[in-house]
Formats: sequence, C-alpha cells, structure tokens
Amino acid sequence: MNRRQIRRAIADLSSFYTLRGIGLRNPIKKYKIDRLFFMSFAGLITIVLASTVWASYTISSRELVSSTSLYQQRLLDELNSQLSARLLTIEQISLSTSRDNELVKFLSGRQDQFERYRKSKEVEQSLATLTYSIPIIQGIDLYMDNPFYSDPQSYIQFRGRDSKEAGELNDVLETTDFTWTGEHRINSFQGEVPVLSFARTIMNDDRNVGILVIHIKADSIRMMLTGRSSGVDRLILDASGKQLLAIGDEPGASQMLAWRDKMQGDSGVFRVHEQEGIVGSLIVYSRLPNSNWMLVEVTPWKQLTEGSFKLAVVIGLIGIGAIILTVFLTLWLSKQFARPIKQLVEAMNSYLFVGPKPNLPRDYENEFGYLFSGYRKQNERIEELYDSLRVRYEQQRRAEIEALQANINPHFLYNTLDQLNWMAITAGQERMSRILELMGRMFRIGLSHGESFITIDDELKHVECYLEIQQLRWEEGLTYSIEASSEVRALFIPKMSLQPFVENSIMHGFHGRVSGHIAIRIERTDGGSLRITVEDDGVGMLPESERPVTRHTGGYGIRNVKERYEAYFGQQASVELSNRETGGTLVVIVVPERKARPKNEQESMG
Amino acid sequence: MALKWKRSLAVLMTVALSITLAACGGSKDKESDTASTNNNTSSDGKVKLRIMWWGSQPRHEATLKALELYTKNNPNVTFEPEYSGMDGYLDKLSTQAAAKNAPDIYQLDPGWVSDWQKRGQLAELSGVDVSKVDPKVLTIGRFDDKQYAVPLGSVAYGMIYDKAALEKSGGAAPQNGWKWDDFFALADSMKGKLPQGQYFTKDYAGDYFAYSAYQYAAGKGTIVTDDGKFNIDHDTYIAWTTKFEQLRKDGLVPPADLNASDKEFDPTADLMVSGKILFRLSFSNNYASWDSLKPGAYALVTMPRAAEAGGWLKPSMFFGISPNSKNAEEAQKFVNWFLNDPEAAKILGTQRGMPVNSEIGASIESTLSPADKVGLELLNATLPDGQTFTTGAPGWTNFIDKDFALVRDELSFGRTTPEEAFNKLKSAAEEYENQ
Repeated sequence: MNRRQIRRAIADLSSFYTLRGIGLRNPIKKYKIDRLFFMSFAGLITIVLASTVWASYTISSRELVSSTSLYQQRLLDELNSQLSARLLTIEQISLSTSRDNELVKFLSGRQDQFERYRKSKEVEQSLATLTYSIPIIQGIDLYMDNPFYSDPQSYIQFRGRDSKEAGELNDVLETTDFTWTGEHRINSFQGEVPVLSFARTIMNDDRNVGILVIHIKADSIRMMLTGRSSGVDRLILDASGKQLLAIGDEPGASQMLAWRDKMQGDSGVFRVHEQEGIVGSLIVYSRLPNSNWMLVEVTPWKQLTEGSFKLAVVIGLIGIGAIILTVFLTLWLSKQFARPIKQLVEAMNSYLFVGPKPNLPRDYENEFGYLFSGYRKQNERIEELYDSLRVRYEQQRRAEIEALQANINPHFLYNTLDQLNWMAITAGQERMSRILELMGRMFRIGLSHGESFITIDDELKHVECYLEIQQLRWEEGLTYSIEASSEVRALFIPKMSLQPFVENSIMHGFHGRVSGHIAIRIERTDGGSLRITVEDDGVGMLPESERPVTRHTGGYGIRNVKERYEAYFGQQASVELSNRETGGTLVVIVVPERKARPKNEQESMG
Repeated sequence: MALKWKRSLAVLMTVALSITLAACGGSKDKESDTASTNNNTSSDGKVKLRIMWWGSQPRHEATLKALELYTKNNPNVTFEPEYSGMDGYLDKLSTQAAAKNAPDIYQLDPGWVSDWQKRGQLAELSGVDVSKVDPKVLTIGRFDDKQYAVPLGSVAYGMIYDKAALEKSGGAAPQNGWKWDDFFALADSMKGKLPQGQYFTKDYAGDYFAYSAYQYAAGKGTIVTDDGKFNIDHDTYIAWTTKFEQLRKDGLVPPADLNASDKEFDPTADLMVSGKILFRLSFSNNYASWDSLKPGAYALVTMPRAAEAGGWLKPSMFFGISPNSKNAEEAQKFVNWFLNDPEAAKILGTQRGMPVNSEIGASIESTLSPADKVGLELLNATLPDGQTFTTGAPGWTNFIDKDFALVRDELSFGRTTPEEAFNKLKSAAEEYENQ
C-alpha cells in the first residue's frame, strides 16, 4: 500500500462525513439519512394518497352531478308532460262542466223553488259522479246565488257568491277566466285534505253567474311528482312563477326569487352555492313549450356528493391505514438502510489501533457489504502500514542506541589508549607508543561525532593509520600506495569503507608472506560515480570449497560494508571482489559521488 | 438486498391498492343489493286494504279504532279507509266498481246485495267463518250455496223524538206499541202549540221507508213484491199522503225547502238536532249517533202499528269484497275478524246494529254503553211481532232511489196531488216490472 492509496481511502471514508454538516441548501446533504428516507417516503405516500382522495372526490362528484342533472332533467321533462296533461284534463273537465246547459240553467236562477231544488239535486248528482269517476278530484265547489245548504264534509259544496272565499276568487278572476290556486286544505269526511284548486267563472249570456272550483287531491299530484323517487325536493310553479305545490323542503320566498332570475329558457340546471342560511344545492328545472308549468327539483349538494364523499372517506380510511402501514414499513426500512451506515460511522468514530476491533456485520451482500469489506480491507492495510512503521521505528531507535553506545565506548578506549601510550613511553616502548597513537587517531576518525559519511580524505587517513600500524608490526616488507586527487578527497563516502578490505588483504592475502603491496586508487568515472579499487599482490581468494570454515572475522567487515552500501545506495553502488590475473585480489567499489553529507540517513533509503 | 426490498414494497402497494379497489367495488355492490331487496320486501309483505263504509261520526270513529287494532295485531296490513255519510255513497261505490276500482272491502245495504252479486261485483267469501251467524240473515248474502256478503248486525226500525221539546209543547211521550192513529193524533194535538219554526215531524209523505212502515202496519205487505210486482195499495197510499197533506197545511211538517235541507246526523242540518222537528224515523243503532250530538235529549219508540206491526228487524249492513281485489285473502281474514273477534265487537259496539254472531252479541251485551242499550231496547220491543225483512225484488234500487224520491219531492213541494203521485209511481214501476 502506497501513500496515494491511503489518501484515497481516507477521502472515501471522509465522504461519509460530508453527509452531515455541509451546506444548508440541500437537505439531502443535511439531514440524517434514515429520517430523510422516512420523511420523503412517508411524504410521498401522503401526497399520492391525498391527491387520490381529492381526485376521486372531485371527479366522481362532478360526474355524479352531471349525470344526476341529466337524469333529473329528463325525469322532470317527463313528469312535466304527465303533469300538464293531467292538469289540462282537469281544465277541460272544468270547461265542459261550466258550459253544461243544466248547470248554467240552474245557476241563472230562473226557476221556481221545486225546479231549482230538483236541479240542484241533478247538478249535485252529476258533479258527484264526476268526483266519483275521476279519483284525482277530491270535490267540487259551486259558488252561486242563494246556495242550498250542503254538508261541509260533502264532496259537492254549494257556496254563496257573497262568501269570503268567493271574494278572494273573484279578485283573481277579474283579469282571467280561470286560475289555479296553490295548495290549501278543505274539509272532507276523512278530515282536512290538502288540495289544489282550479277555479273558472261560469258565464251565461255574458253574465257571470258563478264560479266552478274543482279541487284535486294534492297528494295524488304529490305522488305523481314524487314518482319512484323518494326524499326528493320538487316544486311546481305556474307560468308566473307562483308556487303551486311542493314536495320535500320548500325553499324560502327570497330564495325562490333569486332562483327565478336564473331559470331562463325552457330547461336547465344551475348550482346554488352554500351561503348563510342557504343550503348549497343543485337546481334542475324543466319548462316545456306546450306546458304552463315549470318543474323544479332541488337536490342538496351534500346529498349529491354524498356518494363521492363516502368514496373519498373510504379511500381516505384505507389510505390512512396504508399510511400507517407504510410509515411503519418505511421506518423499519429506513432503519434497516441506515443501520449499516450508522454502524460504519460508529466503527470509524470509535476506531482505535489498539483494543478490540469494531465488529461489522459480514452477512451483507449488497453495497453495504462492499462498503464493510472495503473498510475492513483498508483497516487491514492501515494496520500493516502501521506495523511496518513500528518496525522501522524500532530499528531506528536501536541504531540510535547503538550509536550512543558507540560514542561512549571510543571515549573509554581513547582514554585507555592514552594511558597505554603513556605507559609505553614510560617503558621506552616507542613502537608500541606509536601504534597506540595511530590507534587513537583511527578511533577518532571512526567516531567522527557519530556521522556515517566522512570525507575520502579522512577515510584514507584512517586506512593509512591502519597500514602504518601493520607496517610497525611487520617491521618491513609491507608497502602501499594511495592515488587520489585532492578533488576526490573532498568527496564523502560511508566511513570505514576501505579498512575491511585492507585488513582482509593483510590478514589473508599476505598470510605467511614477508612482503606485500597494497594499492588504493580512487577516481571519478564518467557516470558521476567514484570508482575505488583496492589491489594486493597476495595469494588471492581461495575457491569457495577451500575456504576454511571457521574463519569469520574478515568476512564480517566486508559483509558489513556490503550491507551498508546496499542500504545506502541500493543498486547505485556495487562491491566486487575478484582475483587478479597477476595474483592477488582486486576489490572494485563503485559508489555515487557525494559532495556533501546526506542530511538524513532516512532520505537516502529510497 | 435493496432490489428485493423494492420488489416487496411494490407488491405491498399493489395489494393495498387492490384491497382499496375491492373495498370500494364491494361497498357499491352491497348498496345496490340492499336497494333491490328493499323493493322486494315492500312489494311482498305489506298489504294495504281499501275499505269503504257510510255512517255517522261515532261509527267512523269506532270503525277506525277497530282498523287500528287490526293493524296492531297484523302489522303487515294497513288500511286506506274511505267513509262518508249515506248521501252519494252508493253512487260513489257504483262508479268505482264500474271503473273496476272499487275498494277491497265495502259496506252494502242488504237491499243492494243481490244486484251486486248478479253484476259480478262481489267475491265469494269462502274464508269467512259464518257458523255462529243466524242462518236466516245469512241467506241474503248467499247465492248458489255460496256466501258473497256477510251481515254485520241487526237493527230495528222505529222512531226517535226530542223528549224535552215534546214535553214543552204538552205532548205525552209515546209508548212502545203505539199506533199510527196515535201518531197522527199527537201531531194534531200539537197544532198551534209548537213555537215558531218548529214542526212535529219531517214531511214523510213520499218517504219510501215511512210509507213502507205504514203499509206494513195496514197489513198490505211490501211496496214491491219479492217477485218484482208493484204492490202499493192505492187506498192506503192515498190515506197516508192525504194525512201528510193536512199536516203540511197545518204547518206541522216543514216547508219543502227546509224539509229538503235535512241531513241526518249533521249537527246543523239535521232538522231534529237543530230543534226544528220533534219526531223522525230511526234505526235502533242510530240512537247513539244522535245521543252523541245531544246527550240525553232523545228517546226511541217503536214504529207505530195498526193491524200489524209497523217496524221490522233487518240485518243492518253487509260487508262484501271486490272481485277485483288483489288482496282478497287478507280482506277475507279481516272480514272474518270483524265478524267473529270479541275484541273487535267490543270496540264496534252496536254501531252496525246488534252483532249477528250470537255468541259475540251475548258477550258484549253486558259491556254495552247506555246509548247502545237504548237501541237494544227498541230491538227487543220490535222483535216479538216485527215485520219480516225482505230485500225486495232485485233491480228495483233505482225505483226506490230515483222515482220514489222524485215523487217525494213533488209531494213535498206541493207539485202533485196524492192521486197523481200514486199514478206516477205506478207507471214508473212498469218499467221495472218488465225488465
């Protein structure tokens, strides 16, 4: 795992945190996902339901109203023609009766008492027969001069022309020969009976001799008006708009007046909106060209839309049930959806490198599963990284300790060497003293204040000290040469790079010999590297199989150099040992040029 | 996972929607179902019987109460009653019957029964129990051994008078068994004693029933024989009409126009109730009606007699059922109840006469009202030697209602003499004799 991957993983994770807190504009980015999910889903359902209820109510009520008014219109037209036919029959009967010769003669009053009595019986009889044979006729009143007494309950009544009722009728009949009166009550054997009455003046030689009033049963007309429908409000109005009869609730006079203005043309329909004191209604009216009557049906708006209302209520109730159901469902669903996210967020919030790892569910197979496993994998990688860092840190620490120790030991050795030197001087051991002096110098360079890189100059001095010590030991026979330009000497290499090879040549190459030469050459190559060669004219390297097994000391030094070079430079440096053709060993070290000490050893480690 | 959820959600919604639709559809179906069943039941179980009778207010009231009780006991049966006075009753019923629109049940006078049966306007009453009824009165409604009309009660024909007014004018109260001579003598004695505007009795000169009683008493039989022959005894008729001519002259009967304005039981137009006459004819059961108008003012007395009794007992009225009735079975059940149920009898009293069901009659005797008891006394007084009632020859109804009435008015208005009146009746009768 490299740094870029880590950065991406962190970015991925942190994108979850952006769900909250960023921006007020987009609620999707603001609110908790479970609430958001729940609210929007429940809201949607509610809106859909509300619009369903509203639509079903309005559409069905509109359809109901239009079909009802159409149906009512036809029914009213039909009723109107029936009714006017029925009423016309009464008018015709009245006409023929009023022109009946016997009746006119009777009323003209030019008979003696007996004849008049007999005539009255005949007229009564014929009028009664009319009443008996036409069931809709409740009774007949005859207004005349000097009426005979008649039973007030009887079907046929003779009444005086000077009576109050006659006066009222005469007022109406002044302008017209006949008239219908609105519903009123008259006596009968069965008590008071509601009737409609048709009055007509009876003329004899242009002389008004009486009034014939035919009472028809209002209940029959009412029954006809009701037809097969029950609980309806219908009105019969005459040509002048006067109410003849009503079934159901009667509208007030002021209301009628307002309606009458709207009742134009033959037939039609209009709506009265609900106002103070007025019930919202649908008014359907019918006026036929051949009829004097107008039929009006009033349907309370509430009754009309009752069905739609019921439908809406049912849908609403079912909808409320559905909403409750979906609310729980969405609540559960949103919880279900939000739970893994919550778990993940909690896991991230509570993440610790140490301690128990949060337990993320493993049974998700969908996006949540990917998310969980991704998070887990990233965690694992982070932990790997962490472990490797910890190892490195551990190594570094150990190195630092070693270096500190190394700082302490040389001082101790240094002081001890100094004491030994003085002891050797005192004892007159000048050679020993010189060796100790050289050793001290070697230590100083070897320490170099703990630096890893030293100048080539210092390195060569270090090797020269070692060679001088060996020369002192050998007394003679050991020679060496060093070639390095002053330019090269200013460059840096890792310390203690050459001594192990020189030691190797002396210890092994010249083992058992009395003379030996070591040549050290350092030069720059074209590729910006340094080429260091260390040659000796010793025995050279033994083949692998002939090397003594027990010898390790020399090997350690060279291996150490190799490892360090590998660590510092990797592939850029190389250390090769080979036998020279003329005998002896050749060491070739290639190392990149360094004009300064590396600032940080870490940096050099790629 | 998420996909699965989406799917199950879709399924859930679909289910919810289909439930909604089903619920709506279901409720509509239900409504239409109930609507149709309602229609059926209304046309199935409920029966409305039209029933028609004539009578006075107390009879109407008693009958309506009985109908109410019947509806209470049989909630499926309701009634549409049509009732009126006697005037125009037969005309109305005949007109309705001619239009095949007669009521389911109607009251008939015994005199009309055979005509109605012959015209096919009566249904057979196989469902009415008549076992408790005196067979003698049943025969009037029986044709070819089948019952077509059932009698409802029996009444006696007699007279009623204003007790106080008679006493005031110095007349002695008549006793049962008095004679026609007593009647006319009493009338004579009133001459000049009556206050202005008061008369002794109605002008019965041309009255069919009054003259019938007179001819019965004279031992000359009925006006028309049972085999349809004109049977007015010339001398008896002349004697009767001449006597009334005298009463007319003496101002003991009302003038013609006043006489014609008389309406029985009418509080203002009944001449006796309005205090204009002292005596009038009455059936025994009618006493209660007059008594209700002026309680305690009147008394009954038997029809005056001569060689024979003047009064007679008759089955008061009959119930018949229209052959066009759509509810004949229910109508018969009702008639049976009306005739045989003790509770009904208790309500009805003697409004239609003494019940003809002998058991019922005996059972209500103790519970009769005082007025009904007065009527019962006249019935008992008439019973021993009263004339045998006859329905008369069939086909003579118009003779009685029209021709006789015309002559009555002519006599009353003084347009004709007794002799002329007799001749007119005799010639009018020829038409009926030869039918």
